[in-house]
Amino acid sequence: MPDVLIPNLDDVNKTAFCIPFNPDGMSLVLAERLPPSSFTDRDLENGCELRFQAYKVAWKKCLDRVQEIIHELQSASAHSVVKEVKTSYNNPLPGLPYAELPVISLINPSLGISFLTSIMPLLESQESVASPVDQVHCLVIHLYPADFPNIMVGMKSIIAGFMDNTDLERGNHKPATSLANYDVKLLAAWHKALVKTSGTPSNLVIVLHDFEQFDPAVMQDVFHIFSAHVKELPVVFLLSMSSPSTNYLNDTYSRATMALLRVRKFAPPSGSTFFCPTFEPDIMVGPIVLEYIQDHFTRYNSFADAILTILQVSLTSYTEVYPLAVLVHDTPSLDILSDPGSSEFVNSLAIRLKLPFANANHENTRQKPFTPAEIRTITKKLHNARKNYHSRYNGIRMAFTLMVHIQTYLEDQGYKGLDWSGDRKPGSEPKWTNLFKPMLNVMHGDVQPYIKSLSLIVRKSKRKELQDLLQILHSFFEANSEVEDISKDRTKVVSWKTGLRSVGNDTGSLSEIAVPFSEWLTEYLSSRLRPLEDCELWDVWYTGHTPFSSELLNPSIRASMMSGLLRPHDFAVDFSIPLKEPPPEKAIWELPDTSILFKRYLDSGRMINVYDWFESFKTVLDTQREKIQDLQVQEPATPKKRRGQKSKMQPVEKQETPKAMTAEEEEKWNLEVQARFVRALHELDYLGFIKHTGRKADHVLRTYFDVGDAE
Amino acid sequence: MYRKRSFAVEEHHSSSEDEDIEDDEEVSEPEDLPNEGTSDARQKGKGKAGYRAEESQIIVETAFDAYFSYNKPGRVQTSSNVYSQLVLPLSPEEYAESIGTKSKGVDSIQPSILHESNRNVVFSRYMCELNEGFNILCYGIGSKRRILNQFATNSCSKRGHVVVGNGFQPDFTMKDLLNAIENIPPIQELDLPSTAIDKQARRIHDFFADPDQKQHLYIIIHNIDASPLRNQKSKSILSLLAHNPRIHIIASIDHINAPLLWSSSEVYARKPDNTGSIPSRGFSWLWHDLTTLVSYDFELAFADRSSLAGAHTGGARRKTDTLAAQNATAMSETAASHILASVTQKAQKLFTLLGDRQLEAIDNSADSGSNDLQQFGMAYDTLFHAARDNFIATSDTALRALLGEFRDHSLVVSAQATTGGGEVLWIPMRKERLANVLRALNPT
Repeated sequence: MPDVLIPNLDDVNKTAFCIPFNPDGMSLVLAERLPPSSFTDRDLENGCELRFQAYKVAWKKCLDRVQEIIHELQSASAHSVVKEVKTSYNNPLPGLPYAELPVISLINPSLGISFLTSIMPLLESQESVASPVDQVHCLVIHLYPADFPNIMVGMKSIIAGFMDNTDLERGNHKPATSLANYDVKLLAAWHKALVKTSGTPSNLVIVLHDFEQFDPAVMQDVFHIFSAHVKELPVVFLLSMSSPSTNYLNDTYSRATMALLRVRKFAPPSGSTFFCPTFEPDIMVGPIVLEYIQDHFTRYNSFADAILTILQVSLTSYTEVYPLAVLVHDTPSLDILSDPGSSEFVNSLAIRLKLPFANANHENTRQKPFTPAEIRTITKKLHNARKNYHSRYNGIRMAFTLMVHIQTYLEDQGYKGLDWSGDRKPGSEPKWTNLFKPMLNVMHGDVQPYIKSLSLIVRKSKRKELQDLLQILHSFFEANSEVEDISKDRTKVVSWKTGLRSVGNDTGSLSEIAVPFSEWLTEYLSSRLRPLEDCELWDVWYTGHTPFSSELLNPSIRASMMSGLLRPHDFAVDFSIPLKEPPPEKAIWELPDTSILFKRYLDSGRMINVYDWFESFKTVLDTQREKIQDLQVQEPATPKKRRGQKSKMQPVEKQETPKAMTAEEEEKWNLEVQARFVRALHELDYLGFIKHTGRKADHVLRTYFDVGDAE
Repeated sequence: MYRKRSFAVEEHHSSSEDEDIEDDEEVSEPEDLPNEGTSDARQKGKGKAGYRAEESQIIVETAFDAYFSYNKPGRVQTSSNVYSQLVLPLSPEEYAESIGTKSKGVDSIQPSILHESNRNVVFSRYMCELNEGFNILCYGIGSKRRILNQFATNSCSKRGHVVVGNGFQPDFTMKDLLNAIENIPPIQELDLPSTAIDKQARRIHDFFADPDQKQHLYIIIHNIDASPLRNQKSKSILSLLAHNPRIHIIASIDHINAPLLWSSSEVYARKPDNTGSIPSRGFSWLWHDLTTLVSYDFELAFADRSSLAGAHTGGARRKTDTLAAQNATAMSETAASHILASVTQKAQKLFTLLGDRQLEAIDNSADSGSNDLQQFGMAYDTLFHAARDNFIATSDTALRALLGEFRDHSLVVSAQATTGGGEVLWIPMRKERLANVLRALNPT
């Protein structure tokens, strides 16, 4: 019955189809789940739903935290932009020959649309920015490149945008006597009326999104028009640009136009400043993913959205694959674990926890269900593992933050310290920019150099520095007093501080404090900065060295198309069956038509003579036909061979295979070859591999010059 | 066949020592190149071997090296065979018959992704990603139409409303897609005042931005890189719909340069959780390799199989080609002979006159393989004089009456002449078919 509602999607005459909503009972069940894991035999019965829940919680936490950081970074910039907009017309520079049009360009909004969204409410609010005297109301409209195909339509969009937002009535107007709807004077009249009715002055803010997509010629004229009417119309342009070059305006627009504008640039902060170590994620991403994020950020584009997407995708793919990801937050109940269907899952858990009753023998097809006592043991161990992991993670966090504090202090004093700013670019923000590499080293467990140099530095410190360092430690422990085991260390620090006051200034007595201090520091850092893989069941909460599948975000389409054309048989390989050896290379005649044509395409030069291409295609097809005929002849011959009775007839039969075709068959074959050639040619054309040219008759140009694998 | 200059460098190399093989400025003058004449396919293998020998002297050739070595300035050496002179173009009937009765060639390859179990995993992964706020873009060789339609009917229609758009069809427009969306029952019930596509898109966006809207909308667009969807307007509308939290787009691309359509900010922009006052635009694409190795017969159903450029989409020549394609496919020999059998003798004589002149023009012109038959047409005034001289039509009205019959059936097509005023008339048939028709008409 439901199929009747589905239109025939193979109908050539229609271009768009509507399939109505057709729920059946299954749709509710399918609502929230991940795709099945590749380890389905080790998974719980409803593993997909459970893992999805776990993923959702983990992701939400991550997302909220990153968005909070983004917001913090944005707010300072947002306020300054808003202030600039509101006070644009307050203090015009005196002595200018003509009034300038205020333009504010937001360059490289790497924080995405959220930056603009955070500005908008501030702009539209009635709050005063600088002082009550400067209170200015702002009317905002948003325009996109599609609204500006030419000057008339552009002006119409601007004027209509403003007029639609307010309730002013236009009064009786006849088309013959009133102003055209793209005339700027109409806007001026409207503004005058608005000011009269509302009483407060208001700035007209035009936000232009994706400014690089606007046609410069059109925008130039728009700027000229508004610049001529600056006195009546206090318009402020807010340009949102995404190109990293800060000189786009100067490059694209003529000097005459730029002279009319007063441009202020705002670049919201960007850079890898996001990894504040006080964040505690549920599932920690591994160093490979973080390296990928940094690489992507610096090389391709600096968008916060990209970071969020990468984090989300890595979390999704991780929870999708690992059945044990179910255990992230809490342990499934005893009932679920006792269920015979979950016995494989429980067994895999037992193997990981190295319990004696685990069954590592995979030849048993059915795993017997575990007793409640065994399951209770597993649950207890699981609980301990979880606690262990969290405390280890906290330890790393604390130790790392401490290192950062110490290093900051050393850098402020002018020392190199741990030399984390070795590859810092000039002009970048000093504080957080180079934490990335040290953090990665910590995750890899590569911390000995840091610990050694720190302890050496502490040992050789002067009195003042020791004092300051101890003070830093003290305040750090005070701030994190809720962390366990901190009171012991805090007491030690306090005792050293008091001790320091009483010793003399000579190195001998100073070393009484410095040496134990540095030893304690070494011990504190090395005990905590151990890699997370040392914990039991670490892969439930930490992705480790799982690589990030960048094809989801940045695929190589050309490589995929090349392999689809040149090695199509590889796509038919079923990877669930392990391959003993790589399959043999296929000859050219075994490939599909388009692949044959493409191979010949790769062999030729920049310009291809279609006739010669056709001839080479024909040769391969002739070979193909011969080979197929040979194979067919051999097949019926084989059973006869086995029978052994008519073996003498074999050679006679083989010789009787007609090599020459009749004229009619020849004609048909030629037509078929031509049809197949035309189809393959059209497919390559459709895919964008060839270009047509009028220069030489019946020649096509190659568009694709990449090198395939060595043939 | 084109024998690359680099092959000549190899021959040159043997005579001079220590010549840097990459220093292609020392390639010999054209007269030093071996005389090829019309080489056939066998020589191509040799040329290839020569090129490979030279290639091996470059340590590792990258794609960039290949590009520069192929695009060296200078004349390209190819043979002078002209395809359309040596091979008769196929009529649509011949083409259909030949493809249909394909002799036992190699078996078609069935990729493992199309097996049912794998397909189900793939569909559930897509569904999960769509629900997490991403849009899906499928790439890879092979037509993805069938598998995406299966996704639409098996998975998407059970979760919400589905609209499928065939971007590859030449007459597809954004308006068709938006009209199909507005055919969904809940939207149909709304008051739909204006039909401008901007307003339509805005309406649809606002409808699905309502948090109370329970059913989501799934839009499947086949070939989102096709020419009707490449312009700025369509992209802007699609980006508005794509960023709605309750609208999900699944699209496929086939062109190798399709990723150039979107800027990286559009590709990575994330969907907002709830729509604020500014509707955000962008496509948060996740890319999936969906290589199916299925042929593109459905997508190329509109291509003119008798023309080499019949499947070319986009580009500056598109308009003239599609016009020519439509005109050329409109007329087949049998159709023409049916029409001619039903008209008067005078009309037949007129047709013969026009046809002969057209054939003459084609033969006299150098570029006989061109798709554009308009250039071989006859000006209306010339035709009128010729008709009067041959006692076919005595007045303008009579001539128009005779032509009217042909024009109704598209056997004679006219257009405004590019040079000067007046009309140009021509018959939209290839010269071989036209010759056949005229021969059939006048057996003597």
